[in-house]
Amino acid sequence: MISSRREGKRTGRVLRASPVIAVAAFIALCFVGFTPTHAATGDPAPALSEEDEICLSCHGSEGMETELASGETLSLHIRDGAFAASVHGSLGCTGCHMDVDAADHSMPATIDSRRAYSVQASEVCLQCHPDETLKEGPAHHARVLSADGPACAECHQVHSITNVAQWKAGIGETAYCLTCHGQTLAVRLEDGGSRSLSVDQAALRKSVHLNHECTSCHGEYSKDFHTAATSAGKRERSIVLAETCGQCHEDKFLQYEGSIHATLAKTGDLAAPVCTDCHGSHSVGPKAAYETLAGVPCKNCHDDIFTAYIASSHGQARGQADHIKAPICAGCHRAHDVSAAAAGAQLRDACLGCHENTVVTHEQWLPNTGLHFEAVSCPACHAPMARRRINLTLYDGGAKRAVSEHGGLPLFEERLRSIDTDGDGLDAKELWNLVRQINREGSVADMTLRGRMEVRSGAEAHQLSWKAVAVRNCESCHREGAEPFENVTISIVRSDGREMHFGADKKVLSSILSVDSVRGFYAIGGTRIALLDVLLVVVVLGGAAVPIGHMAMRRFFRKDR
Amino acid sequence: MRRIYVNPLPVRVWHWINATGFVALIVTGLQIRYGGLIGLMSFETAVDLHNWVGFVVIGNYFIWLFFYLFSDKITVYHPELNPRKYYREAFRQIRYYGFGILRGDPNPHHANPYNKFNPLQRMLYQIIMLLIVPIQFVTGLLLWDVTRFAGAVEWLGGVRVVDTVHVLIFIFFAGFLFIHIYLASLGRTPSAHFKAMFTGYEEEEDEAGEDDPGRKSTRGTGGEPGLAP
Repeated sequence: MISSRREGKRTGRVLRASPVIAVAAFIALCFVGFTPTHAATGDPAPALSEEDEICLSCHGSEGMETELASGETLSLHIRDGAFAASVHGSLGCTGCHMDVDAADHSMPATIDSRRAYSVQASEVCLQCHPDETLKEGPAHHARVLSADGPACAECHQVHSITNVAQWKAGIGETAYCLTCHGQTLAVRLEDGGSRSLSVDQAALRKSVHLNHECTSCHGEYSKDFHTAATSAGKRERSIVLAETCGQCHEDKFLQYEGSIHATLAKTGDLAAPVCTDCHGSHSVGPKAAYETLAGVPCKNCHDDIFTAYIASSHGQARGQADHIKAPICAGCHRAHDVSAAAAGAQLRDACLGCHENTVVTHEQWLPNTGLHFEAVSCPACHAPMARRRINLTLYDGGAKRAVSEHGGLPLFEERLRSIDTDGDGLDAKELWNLVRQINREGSVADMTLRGRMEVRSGAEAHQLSWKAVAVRNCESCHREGAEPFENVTISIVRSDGREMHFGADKKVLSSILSVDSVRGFYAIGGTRIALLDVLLVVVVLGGAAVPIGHMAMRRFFRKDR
Repeated sequence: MRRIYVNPLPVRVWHWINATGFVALIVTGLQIRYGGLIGLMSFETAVDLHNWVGFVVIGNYFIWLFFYLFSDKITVYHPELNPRKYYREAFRQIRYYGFGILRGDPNPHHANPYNKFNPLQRMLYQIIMLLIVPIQFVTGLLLWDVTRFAGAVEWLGGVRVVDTVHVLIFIFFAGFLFIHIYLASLGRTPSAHFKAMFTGYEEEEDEAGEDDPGRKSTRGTGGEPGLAP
């Protein structure tokens, strides 16, 4: 075995061949002779030049290699007969290695790495296959435009380059694609950036789509047809490709189409997730992979909420091996038809879906259980550390449904700001005017406001704790000045599906005007109307004053009887 | 001195259950509404008591209703269907409470079993018993289970409207209680009407030419607004 491996690791190693070696190789060749490279196949042996035979007298030796500065090993072995059978066999070794001949075998350059050598060696390809020619074929378009694209040798091999037609015929679709896309490959974008076209083959091998061909998803490409890569950005490309998923996963895709994520995506929000954001592109895993604390994709965007969830009773239970039924994100929010957090009834139903006897157990001690379940979100009691608020929502009494911007009340924010002229949130009079204005316009049949007690943020909604520490003290809400009534918002579901909250003065709940404007919400003790308190005092004092006054007058006139 | 049977047993039973119930409802109502200011009992207990007592008072109402619907005593509310005479007597009664009583004038109204109430009582008690109390019952029932009666609550304008009406009537009764008890003390003696509501008999000093107290008559023997409906 001939090896240029040297002891120790040094950088900038230089291969230097001497004429002595070349001559020695030639002599050795005379004694040893060539082993026909076509022997195994029985094909006629392609003729190699005498000069080529000299080269292969050394490079035909298996195991010939050299260590590069990067620490990598570069094989110098030319497989038996491979070069002779390649389309470039007729060119001979020096057809490409023009700086080497039998008499002068010097390696002029320092080789840093395999990649560097591939790039360097590929330069010679361009002499016969210039960029201008390559650009005509879309498959090479990206290679030409990209400075860090794969070198010729990385796709076409080095010395065993076959006829393209033969090669295509003998290779599978996916293997064909990975010939280039398994390499570092990128397309340059109009904005100067680049978009990777590489496929992580290791991830692909673990994917549930392993047995699909690339063209199953990338149907616009094939071994015989390959358009130039678009210059669309990565995000735009992901959004377009996500629709491909629907071709097989139609049910899931239809569910997604009705989700808050899809709604946001349709409004042009590039941050809105599409299929690949949760499932990955070439690394699509099994369903179970997304239902683990480590693998759930939701946390990529909703990190603060996931942190709260991990600390919650659900998160803690989920982390235990014997509590795998504890819900993870999709358990409550569903996986594909994710609704806006504002959809309180849906989330409440999700709670009751697992906690089956909850209504019955609450009815045993909680008066008006049904009303509480309607007007109080589960976390408002079961996340005792969370801050709470009263959220007023517009309700169409005629249609018996909540009012949204796209459901009859467009430009609500502009309308609200025009009424809240001082910009400090709606006070009782302004809120009353708002309701009257909407009802007068008739855009909604019979609009009023309904209230719901909920926690103030999405993260707090996930701070669910164990039953033993849940709020059960009625006075925590049913008294004046209770914490939930200190923060009041008015919200509406916008056209993109999200709920927008606007601040309001807490007195909107205790004003006499609320009898008209906030007809649909009342919490005994907590939102009592201040004017009625005054009236009670006046009536009681009056009720006491009448007998006292009458008795005083009778006593005063007693002497006249 | 003669005794006139003006408060039959069903009326007396109804009255004292109703009186006890009203006091309990007012106390528990105050506790429910002003939990931060009053600490007689927990909110939960107050709600439970309020609900139970409320149902008792509603059931008790029908004792009163059925007694007067199915007995000849219903005339205590309409002894004569003569509006002109009614307003003349009402004016005379107002003048008595405003001036006459101060000068020691006799009460122009004399109660008997078929004409127990003076004109002011007749009008007020009919408004209370046929309008205000039923409204209070209905609003209370709706608030007892808002979900069960969601349709009715919505039809009436929403839970806040229903509650506000309930509270307004509660305020009315809180004030009425003082005046009711005071006027009940304006009988022949301060305790006369109270005793009568236990015994059923009002006592009245004999006067020459007095009608038979057991006979139907529009002429009374000194009824006061403190007399129960």
